[in-house]
Amino acid sequence: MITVIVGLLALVLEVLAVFWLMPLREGSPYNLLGFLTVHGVASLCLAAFVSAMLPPGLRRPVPAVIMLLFAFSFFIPVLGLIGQVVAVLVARFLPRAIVELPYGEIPPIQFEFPPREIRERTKYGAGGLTSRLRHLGVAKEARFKSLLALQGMPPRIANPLLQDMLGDPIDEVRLVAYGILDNQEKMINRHIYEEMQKLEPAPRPELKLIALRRLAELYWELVYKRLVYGDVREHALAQTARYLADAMRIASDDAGLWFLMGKMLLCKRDPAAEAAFHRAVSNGLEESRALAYLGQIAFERRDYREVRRIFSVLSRTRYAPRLKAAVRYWSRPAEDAQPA
Amino acid sequence: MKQERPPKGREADIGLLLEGTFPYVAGGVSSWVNQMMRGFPELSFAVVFIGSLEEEYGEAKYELPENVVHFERHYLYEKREPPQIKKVEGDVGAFTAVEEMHRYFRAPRAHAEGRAIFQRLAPELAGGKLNQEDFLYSHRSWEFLSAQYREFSSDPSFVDYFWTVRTMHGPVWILAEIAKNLIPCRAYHTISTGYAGLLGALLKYRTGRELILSEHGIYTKERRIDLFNANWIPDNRVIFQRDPTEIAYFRQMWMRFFEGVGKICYDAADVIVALYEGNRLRQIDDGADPARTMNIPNGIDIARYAPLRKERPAATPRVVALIGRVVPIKDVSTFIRAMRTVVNRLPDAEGWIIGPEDEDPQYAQECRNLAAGLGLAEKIRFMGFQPMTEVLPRIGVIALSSISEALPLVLLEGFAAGVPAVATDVGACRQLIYGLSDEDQALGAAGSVVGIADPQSLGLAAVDLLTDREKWHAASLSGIGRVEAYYNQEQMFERYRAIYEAHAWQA
Repeated sequence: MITVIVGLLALVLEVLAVFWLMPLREGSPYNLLGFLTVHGVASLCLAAFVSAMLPPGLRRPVPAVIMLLFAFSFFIPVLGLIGQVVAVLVARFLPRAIVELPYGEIPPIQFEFPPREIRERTKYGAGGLTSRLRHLGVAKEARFKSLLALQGMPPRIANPLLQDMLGDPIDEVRLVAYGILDNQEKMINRHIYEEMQKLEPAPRPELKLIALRRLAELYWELVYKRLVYGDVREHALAQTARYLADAMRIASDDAGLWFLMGKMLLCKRDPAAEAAFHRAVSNGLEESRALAYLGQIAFERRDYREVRRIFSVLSRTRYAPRLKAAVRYWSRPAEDAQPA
Repeated sequence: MKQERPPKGREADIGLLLEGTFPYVAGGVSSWVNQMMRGFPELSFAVVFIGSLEEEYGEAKYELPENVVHFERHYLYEKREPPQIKKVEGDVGAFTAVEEMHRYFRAPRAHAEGRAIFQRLAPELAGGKLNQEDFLYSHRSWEFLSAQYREFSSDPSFVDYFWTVRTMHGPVWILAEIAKNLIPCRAYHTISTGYAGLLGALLKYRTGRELILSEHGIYTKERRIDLFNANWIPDNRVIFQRDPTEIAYFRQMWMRFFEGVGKICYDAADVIVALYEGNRLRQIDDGADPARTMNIPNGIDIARYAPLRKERPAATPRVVALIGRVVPIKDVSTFIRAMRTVVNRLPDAEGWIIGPEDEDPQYAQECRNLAAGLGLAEKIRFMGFQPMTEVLPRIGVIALSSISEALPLVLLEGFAAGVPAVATDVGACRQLIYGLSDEDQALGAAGSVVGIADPQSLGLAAVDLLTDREKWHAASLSGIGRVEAYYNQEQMFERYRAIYEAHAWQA
């Protein structure tokens, strides 16, 4: 604000100085002296105004900058002032588009070594991997590489293959397969233990619900990822059911819990699964997520008409890409969809 | 250590080179070392213990036998001052040999002269033309290293490459220093390849004395598996450079380092002993000369265990025991899961885990958590270390769930005390349980063998033995017969005596 006042003051004083000079024609040297005084004060005010408007980097050293600006307007009356005001306006409202940064430029780094492994990369599909792994005649290195590639596959598909590899005659293959499986299982078991700890000093219901839900999901994950078999699998399923039941005592209408319940019952081939999925949907689960499961239940009941109905509904929704083949097959009209 | 001051002798008959085992780590290999030294009271031993960091080992678990006249310990990854930085040019000849040696490691079979290269280089490593300064600071070293990086590295980071090479090779000069200062011995006996094996090779080439290698597990294989599962090794490849079938380059480098070190040891050793045929074949596969290999199985002091057979109760105790350190390689978690199967069928059965838990406390805790998660907290007892003679009569079946073993002493000890076993199909377990030769197989099965990480089968096999009285008795008798006929410590001592005589008292 003060800056603006000082600027305006400079303008007023300069105008005043010019008017002061007007009587010069009549030849009075006092007028000149008066002009120079008022013009000098105006120039000083302008110098102060302009320097305040300059970008910070250009303001220093202050005395020299003020002197320079003062000299401009003092020795070029009127025009100096106009010029500086224009300069300030331009600097303020039309700055240079390219700002100069305090960085130097260095030439781009040459990427020296050839990306050898891209050229030599082997491409394995899931089928190729399976046969390569199962076939003991395949060279040790190739089988080992296939085993490594398994890590890029979804665990539910890779894990049964890894389980098979546990009986491999080659120690490395066997032990690496073991390591991959063991790490997954260890991770889940660690989470199970952590959640169990949270239940110890009976927490508030909402926190208890979170822990119970997590426990049910974690035990289910052991089964879903096909990490456990036999009695341990039975135990994991029993624990899933137990924690689901506990959680449902707190939140009986939770869509997620009902969905998990449906998946767990389906896995046990329990007919109650269907009702659980419907319950999940009626509690707010997006229908398309339950449809494939309902389709599976109908299929296992050999109710193919119902399967077709469900899949044609599914085909109009956004379903998981892996279901594409099943959806295409089952949503065709009945006459050309004869199961083989 | 029980001894206040470790003995420092002037000379010994056998220089025993031990890495990460006796006397600081309890376990099968340590017991074997202890048994061997006590089995040869007429020989004097100089023991060199090599470890990674001092804080990783607690108190000594074994008392040094009387005939250990010299003991020293070294920690390879201990912080130590590097030699003072100075300008070094590096010897052309030495670095040409180094290059040649690396070529040999990449293709050992294509390079007949490989063995001679390290023999030439070994004495140069301490006070010769290839000192640590030459490795760390010389121009030649830098040139060699950057050329190798350009030619082979598939990881873009030179900085990581540079430090990986430095860290990896650091121990070589420490070992060279140990070799230079060790008291004179008639022969050297290393119990593994790896760093101890490399020290053996350095000693052999330095002194001209012979080197005996007794390998229990296969060191190189175990390192490979450790390294595969290690998460401290960087991988700087971006997504486009990454090949899912390819292991990160630095991981490969570490694996190849241990393979190279193993090769040096196999090349240097005059006798290469495996515990059983499977491991001997593996050694040959890894580059050991078949002519120098042989099998000497472990043997135990049967007289110590035989009286326990009478102490057993009339009914088979419903106790399945895992006897061993609580460490991941024993796969204690599979044993715990198997107990779920056992307890489902025999609710009064118990699972005992007998062995120290201090080596990997985190894993031990995970095992306890797993037992709790499976609802077995009441059924599984973590008993810590227990004297074998006290626990064996109270055990129904020994379970061995390891993912890797050589020839486990614990099965032999169990057999000698009349306890059958269920074991995973690793190492020599199949041979121990079902027999090797026709004659041996005729003795019958001393239990059963199942696949690794298969808790269901392991549990069912244990239940089978615990519930079928006749089967249990037959298995117990087979075990006793087998251990007495083939795994007696006298047989083992005799064969080693012959080796020591032939190689320590050579001309």
